Amino acid sequence: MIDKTKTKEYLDLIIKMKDIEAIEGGLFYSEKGTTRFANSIIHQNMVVEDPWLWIRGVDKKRVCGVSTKDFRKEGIERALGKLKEAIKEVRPDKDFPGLPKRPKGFRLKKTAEPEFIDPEQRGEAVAKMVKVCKKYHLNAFGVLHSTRLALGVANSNGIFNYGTNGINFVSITAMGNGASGYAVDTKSHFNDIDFVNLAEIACEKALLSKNPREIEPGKYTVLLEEPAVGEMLMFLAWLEFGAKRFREKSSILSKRIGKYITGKNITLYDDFRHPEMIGFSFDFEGYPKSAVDLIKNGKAKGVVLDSFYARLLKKKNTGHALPQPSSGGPIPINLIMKNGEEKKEEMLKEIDKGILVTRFWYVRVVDPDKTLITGMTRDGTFFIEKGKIAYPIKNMRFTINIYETLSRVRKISQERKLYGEDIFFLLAPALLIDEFNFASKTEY
Amino acid sequence: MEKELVALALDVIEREGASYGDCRFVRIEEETIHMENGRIDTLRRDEDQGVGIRVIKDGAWGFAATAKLTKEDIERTAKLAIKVANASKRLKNKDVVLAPTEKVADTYCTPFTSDPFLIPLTKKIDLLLSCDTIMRKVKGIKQRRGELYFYKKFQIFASTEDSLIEQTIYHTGGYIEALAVKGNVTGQRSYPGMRGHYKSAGYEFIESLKFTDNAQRVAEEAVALTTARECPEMTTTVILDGSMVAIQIHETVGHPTELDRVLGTEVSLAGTSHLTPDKRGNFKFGSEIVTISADATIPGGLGTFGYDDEGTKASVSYLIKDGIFTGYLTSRETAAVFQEKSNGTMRAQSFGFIPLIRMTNINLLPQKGKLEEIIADTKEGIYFESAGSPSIDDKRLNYHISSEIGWLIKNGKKTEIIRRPAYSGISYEIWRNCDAICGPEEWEVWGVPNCGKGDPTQIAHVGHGASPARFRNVKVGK
Repeated sequence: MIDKTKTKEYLDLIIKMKDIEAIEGGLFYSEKGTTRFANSIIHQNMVVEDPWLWIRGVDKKRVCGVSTKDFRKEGIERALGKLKEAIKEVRPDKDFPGLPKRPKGFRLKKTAEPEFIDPEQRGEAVAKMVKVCKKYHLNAFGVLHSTRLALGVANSNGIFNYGTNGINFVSITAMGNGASGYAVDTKSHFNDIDFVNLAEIACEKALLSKNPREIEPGKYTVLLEEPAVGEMLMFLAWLEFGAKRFREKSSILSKRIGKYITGKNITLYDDFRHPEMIGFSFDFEGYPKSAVDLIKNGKAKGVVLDSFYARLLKKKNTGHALPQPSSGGPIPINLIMKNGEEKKEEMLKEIDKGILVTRFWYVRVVDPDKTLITGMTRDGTFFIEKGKIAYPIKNMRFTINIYETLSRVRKISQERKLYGEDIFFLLAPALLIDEFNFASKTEY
Repeated sequence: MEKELVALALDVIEREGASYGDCRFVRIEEETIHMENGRIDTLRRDEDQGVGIRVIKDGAWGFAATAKLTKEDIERTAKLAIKVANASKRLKNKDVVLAPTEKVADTYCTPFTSDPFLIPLTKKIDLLLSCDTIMRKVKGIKQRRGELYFYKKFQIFASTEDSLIEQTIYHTGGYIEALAVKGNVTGQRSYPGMRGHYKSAGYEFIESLKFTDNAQRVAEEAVALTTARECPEMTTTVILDGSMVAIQIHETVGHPTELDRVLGTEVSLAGTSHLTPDKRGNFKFGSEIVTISADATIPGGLGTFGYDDEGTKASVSYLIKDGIFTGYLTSRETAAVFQEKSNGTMRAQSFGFIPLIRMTNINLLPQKGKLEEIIADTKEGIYFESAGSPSIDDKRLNYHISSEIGWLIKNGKKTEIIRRPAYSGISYEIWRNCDAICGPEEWEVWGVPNCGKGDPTQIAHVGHGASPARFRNVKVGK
């Protein structure tokens, strides 16, 4: 890890630079241990230490960014030299609001240094999952990432913030006889993951998935499990909850503030403080993050902002900047869907005829004007009859309008899962949805 | 200094008992200039550098990488790679075997005329702003965007098998884009392709694209799309422009012929493939006019290089020949499974990633004729232009690909514009229904700078040579 003191030393080298009116420095440190396994053996295993330093300079409203991974004094000086050289050629940006100032009364959330997970510990966890799969004569495939992150941001307006996060992500796919089952988990602490239980879930699904039947595409009631809901919400976050498309009025939400946009049972917000969430308490401009209501009880409420869009939209900065300069605009990176009251197993019992979807795959936007997306089901798709899993079915392609789909949510689960990696996370429940559109089928 | 660090890493891993090891020092420089509505909202110069060390010890793989370039850090990282390999051997069923490769001492550099990093920023900014001025004048345009992107990768590869290779690769590209809005409908049009055209070349490629000559047309077509009707749902004849054929190749030929995913090692993210080894040499994948190569040697492709990241020389091989599925993209480890030699496709995004099998330039070989002749020869159908977003299942069978714009074809002529059309189906069926491929005069190597694979996800720059082609009985719509 690069600790707070060392981070400040690096960033001080940057922000004390003369000849440039205002300057911002950021340090993003990532140390990722990854163990990938397939056919029940470890086939890729690694530790990658990858710190990254970025600098944004402003001179007479001319803005330019550089970055480097060379942390030696000469490396940082070379980056600063590139910045000075480039900034002369840039045209002034009349909309640039200046670097953020340190807000009053902000207290940084203290974070302990995340634990280092040794390659042996990762190997042991994978061995536990492989053992479960072998018990059922299945092969284990998957990945285990243990990541330690540190973020420090400073600017010449007096901002300096530093924080750390630990992230442990595991996915397991149990496979055999052409069938597959999937389970996933993300936790801040390695020991909070129950690897054996995850492998049991994946194996149960794989065993249930043997000899899938083909059903015709069409509209079905579905029970989308948490990873499938997470995938759908990720696209909504990107298309609808950022300030850029809001300001352009190209998002649907931008035209419906205060009006119903989904069913009344849908509430979505961004909040890094949620106990199950992983996130930094400030953004990539060093500005403190606020909780932001996006959709509340079905009504469109707002979007997340950074310093640039806060000024353009004459609103308070919510602290959602990504590394700058960037053309993408801010997006929510700690997205939460409010959970419901029923257990997933109770929701299943309410389905007379329908489909259970474990996860989606390769989801893409077809028409952003309608939040129309398409994608495939994968690793555990089942037909439900009279409240029970009746038989496995072959995978299908869905094509849905996300807002319309969220207007047909009958039930929301009590259980939620954290979904995501590195800096983007969302906490998603399972959803029982009517008239979910499957457009076509595949061969397995 | 970098060569000394690479040599030090190899010394350490040999001393620690590795039976094989390689080390890559990689430095990547990127320049991104993004314009939106006359404002340069992003001007970035990024540099990424470090050392990645891959080892086999006791028959198991280990990899460690660091951006810290002191001798102490390299030594520590090399020892960490060994420690990781020791952890890997807990779960192995046999020792890793690598197919043999030649010992190489060589250098390679992308041929180019004009170093894009030496072109003044003002010239690049002025080009984007000139396009903006032209697009802004078209009534109905709400957003104008443009981007230029330049990439330079310097790499030293050395292995315990005594190979030492230095490579410098340049990639250059960009796009312009206009968005028109009418009520709740947006029309989006970009040039060239959708979100750009990229080549291994210098700044001369940017000049050849003639952005300013195309800016007005792009803006006018964006406006026309706001009143265009949506694509009717039907089964019809489809003609794809070269950029769309490129995406069709990428999704339905490139990925499913990666031998690592065929052997199951990409299940955790990307999935597997329907092109299993039993189908090799006998599966009718396409019509007889469909021949698809993997060629890392052609000029201009984003998958063009001297050597891959295992030190295997760039080569040409065939994935589909006269419609029959014939080959895979391979690495030294996967090729050894079939007692073959690697065809040199292992590449890593940067120092901090393990090399994976990646597409090089996956090319549909040209046949004959021009696009206008194929359109004239088509009674009814849709012409698709500018590849949009693709989606495909995890065995690469059921695909869905959308585009920015299409034109209905009636009696051999392009007629009405249609908005964001899409087509879908089963991957081998569309290739079996391919009945016309344009000739060399329409053939172009398209660059895909954002191909994702691996876990953690790596982004690769890959190429696809393609000319427009016609496919019968394709389902179209949304």
